[in-house]
Amino acid sequence: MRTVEVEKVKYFFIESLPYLRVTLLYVTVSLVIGFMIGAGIVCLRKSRIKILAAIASLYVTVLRCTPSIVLLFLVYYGLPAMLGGRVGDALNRMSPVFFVCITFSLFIGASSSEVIRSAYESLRAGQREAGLSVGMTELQTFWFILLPQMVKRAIPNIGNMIIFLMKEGALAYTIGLRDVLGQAYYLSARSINVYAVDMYLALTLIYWPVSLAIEKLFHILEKKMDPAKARRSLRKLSGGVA
Amino acid sequence: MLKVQNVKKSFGTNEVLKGVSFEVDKGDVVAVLGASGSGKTTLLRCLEFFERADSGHMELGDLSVDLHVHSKKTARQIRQKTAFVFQNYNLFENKTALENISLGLTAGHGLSKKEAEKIAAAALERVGLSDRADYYPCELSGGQQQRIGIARAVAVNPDVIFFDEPTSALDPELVGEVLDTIKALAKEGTTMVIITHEMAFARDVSTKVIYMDGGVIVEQGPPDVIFTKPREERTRKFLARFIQDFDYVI
Amino acid sequence: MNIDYSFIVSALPKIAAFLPVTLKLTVVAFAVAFAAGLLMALAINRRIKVLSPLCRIYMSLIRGTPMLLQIYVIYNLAPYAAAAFIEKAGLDINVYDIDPVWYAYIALSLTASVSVAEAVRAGMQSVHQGQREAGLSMGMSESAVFIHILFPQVICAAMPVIGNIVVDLIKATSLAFMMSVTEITGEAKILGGDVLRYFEAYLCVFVIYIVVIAVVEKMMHLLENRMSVYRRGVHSST
Repeated sequence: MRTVEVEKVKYFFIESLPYLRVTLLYVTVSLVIGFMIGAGIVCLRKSRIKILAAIASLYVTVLRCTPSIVLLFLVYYGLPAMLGGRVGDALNRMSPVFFVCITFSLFIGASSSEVIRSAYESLRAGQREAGLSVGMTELQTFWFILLPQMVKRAIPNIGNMIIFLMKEGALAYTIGLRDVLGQAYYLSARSINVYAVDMYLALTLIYWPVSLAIEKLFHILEKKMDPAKARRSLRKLSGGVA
Repeated sequence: MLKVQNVKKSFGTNEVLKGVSFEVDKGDVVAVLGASGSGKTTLLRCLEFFERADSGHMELGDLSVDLHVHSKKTARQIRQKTAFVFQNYNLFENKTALENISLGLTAGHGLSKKEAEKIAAAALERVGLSDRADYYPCELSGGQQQRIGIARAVAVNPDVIFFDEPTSALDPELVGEVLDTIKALAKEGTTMVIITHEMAFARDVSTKVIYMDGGVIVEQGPPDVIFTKPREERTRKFLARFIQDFDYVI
Repeated sequence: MNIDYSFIVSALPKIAAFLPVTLKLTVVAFAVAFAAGLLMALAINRRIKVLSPLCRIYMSLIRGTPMLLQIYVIYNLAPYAAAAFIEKAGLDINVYDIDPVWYAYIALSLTASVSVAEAVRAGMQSVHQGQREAGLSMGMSESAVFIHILFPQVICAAMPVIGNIVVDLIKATSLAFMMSVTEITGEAKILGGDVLRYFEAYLCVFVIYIVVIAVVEKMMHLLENRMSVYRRGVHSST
């Protein structure tokens, strides 16, 4: 085994890093659509129509049992096949990132429904009544009182989801996605993988710090959004009695 | 039989024990009194090697141990000759009442499973809980748990049993059954060192009373002396406050 | 719709025939991950010098990089390491004779070992210090206390998370085909590729995963219930 060449590592690093924008694209789209699906699922599960509630919880169970790569292939090969005809042909020409967005929106739809539900259940009883009692409408109460509290609760989960999406998205290189890993592999393949080790190192040097940064960022965000918690930890630091 | 010399222990800058010495003879029931923060619990925890004393010496039977410098082996030897009853019982949560007692005998003292179970059953009988042998701790009241804690301690036939405020975590109506269990042991001549806030109990049961304050033993002596004519002003003040409280409760 | 149903019917049993490979990958990788995770949790909790910070770095690294990258690193670099080891140990083994499934076991166990370490650490925190002291006060050795008292309670507390780890592991085995180990996903890829019926082939795999994971989840749940009997008690009267 030959030694690592710093120049090559640098090359792979610099050439692949900009492709984080692809990651950013599908992560953002998947989170937005996923949370919309998730909100829908929560509503369906709370609905009085039993069939709808059952379908919604079946969706969550099925998605939890599906490996990312299997759903990715199902969407990639299945959507064009199922729709067929002209639409199918059009889909076949779509960029891989389109299929990645659909796949992960479906996943986030399932996992976010659990996050939304637990955030909703964590609301203290009486918050809604309190909002209504001061003359706000249901919508205003939800928007100004309930939603901010729920978002606060969901913050750590959203951080985990972003890291999950960034890492799992790498699988999509198998359907030709050019994210960070896809780009690095493409470059490496051009030099018949002679510099594979340098490429692995460059990828580690991209993914690891980015994951750590996201983790840290959401940790700070979590603290910032909960002033009571921030005060409590301050008090603990100064050794006072709560 | 048990001789403790000059135990010192600090947590950071807080000097909790400032040189404590006392002796316990076979059959003694020593009541350790004192306000919270006086160092009583830390003293017993040092003797059971849950805390490492900064200095101090301990003799138990033919064993002689430095409380600061000791090997794991000597700590275990001492522990095999002593037993400890905890304030919050600390029954093994994943073991039934009977297993709680027998585990100490098999894993701690190398008895066979059969022997251990026989002794454990007898110990349960002794604290009046034979019908709870296959109950898990979560199914028992605090009083029952503590009685099993006592049975667990008695079963290994130790030279001395240390009690760390055995009734302070209990609801008031459950205190009686535990104190009765300890009284019965005292009658049978079990050697015990008991930290307690139950003054009437200490007066009735103990053969010797130790009063601690600020990390030192202020006064020690027979209960009739300590409770009726203590020499030290601090002891008098402490007892006055406690016995008053005690009278209110009754 | 352009779906070949007869292909699904014929492919399903052929793909299901590779289920034992999937299960073997899961079981072995879990065993490796469990042992490694437990040791890491202990090393970190006991603050063992050098080892404890190393474990932390390893855990952060594995959590911070895609599994696909880990798989490629192991698959492409492990043979070199193995060759070097064989040469040093003077063994008479050809590196190319090593079944790639061994690399798969290692690669799959990396992420799981980190999850196990985290679950065990959380479990340790949930067990009260008094349990250990009670054991020691009975004259038991540290290791006896660990085996009889702490370990069962830690594992019981960690069981729900361990259930999730097993499910994640089953799902992760779907990447084994990238290390040329043919399990159900790999077989689907082969069958689907023969006649360009990928969608139908993956539909079969999809169904198999759902059934297998549902069954495994049920089993883990039963196991968890059995292990946590002491938390609920067996006598309903109290």
